[in-house]
Amino acid sequence: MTENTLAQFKKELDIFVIIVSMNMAAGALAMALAMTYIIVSIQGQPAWQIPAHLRILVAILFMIGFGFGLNWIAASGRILRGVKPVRREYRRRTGPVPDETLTCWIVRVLAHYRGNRSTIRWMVPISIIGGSAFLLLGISNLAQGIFGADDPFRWFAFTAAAINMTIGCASIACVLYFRRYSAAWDERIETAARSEQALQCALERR
Amino acid sequence: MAGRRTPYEIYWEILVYCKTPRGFTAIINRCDLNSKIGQEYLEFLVSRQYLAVVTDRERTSYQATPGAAEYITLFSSLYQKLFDESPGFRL
Repeated sequence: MTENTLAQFKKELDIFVIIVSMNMAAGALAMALAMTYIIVSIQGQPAWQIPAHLRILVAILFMIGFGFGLNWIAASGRILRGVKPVRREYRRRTGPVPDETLTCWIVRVLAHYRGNRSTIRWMVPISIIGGSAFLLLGISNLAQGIFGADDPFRWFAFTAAAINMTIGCASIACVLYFRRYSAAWDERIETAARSEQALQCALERR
Repeated sequence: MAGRRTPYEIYWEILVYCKTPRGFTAIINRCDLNSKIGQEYLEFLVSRQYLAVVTDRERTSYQATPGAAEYITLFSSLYQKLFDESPGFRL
C-alpha cells in the first residue's frame, strides 16, 4: 500500500508545486504589465490619445492591478512555503520510506491545506476575474492592431495582445487545476473528518 | 509541524515522537504546542495509558506504551487510505 500511496502523494505534490509556480509567474507578468501601463498612461504617450483625467483613472486601475499581482505572488508563496519542505524531504530520501514518515508528510500537507483552504478557494474566483480581464484586454489590443491600419503603433498592439492573452489563458488554466486540487483535498479533509470517529473510539476504548 | 492540525493528528504525533522517552519541553517543541495545551494532551494520553511517565532521578519523561501502537497503526492506515481512495490529481 505504501508504494502506491507514496507514488500518488509525490505526483500530486509535484504537480501542485508546478501549478503554484505558474501562478506566481502569472502574477509577476501581471505586475510587470501593470507597471508598463502605469508608466505609459502617466507619460501620455502618443498611443494613448485619451484625456488626462481618464489617463489618471487608467493609471489608478493598473496600480490596483499591480497591488493584486503583488498580493497574488505573496499568497502563492505562502502556499508554496508549506509544501516545499515536504517535497524537499522526499526528494532527498533515497531508501524506502517508512510508513510513519509517509503519514507524517500526509499530515503536514493536510494541515497546511486546512490552514490555507480559504486562500486557495479565493484564488479560484480572483484568477477567473483576472484571467478574463487579461483576455478582454488582449482582444481589445488585437482589435486595435487589426482595425488600426493607419496607427504607427499597430505592432505594439499585437505584442500587447499576445502577452495579455497568454497571461489570461495561463490564469484560467491555473484555475482549472486549482479547482481539481481543491476538490480532491476537500474530499480528503472530509474523509479524514469521518475517520475521526474511528480514532475517537480507539482512544476511548482504553 | 505548522498548519491546522486536528487533536487526533496531534495525539499521533506525540505518540510517534515518544517511542523513545522524551521530556516535556522536547515534546512541546517538536509538536509545536504551547505548554498549557501540551500538558492537556499529555495528561489525556497518560490517563488512557498510551503514554507512561518515566522518572529517572529528577528527570521526568514520557514514553509510548505498547497500546499506543494500535492507535498509530490505525491512524496511519486511515490517512494513507486518503491517497488510495480519493480521486487522483492529474494535469
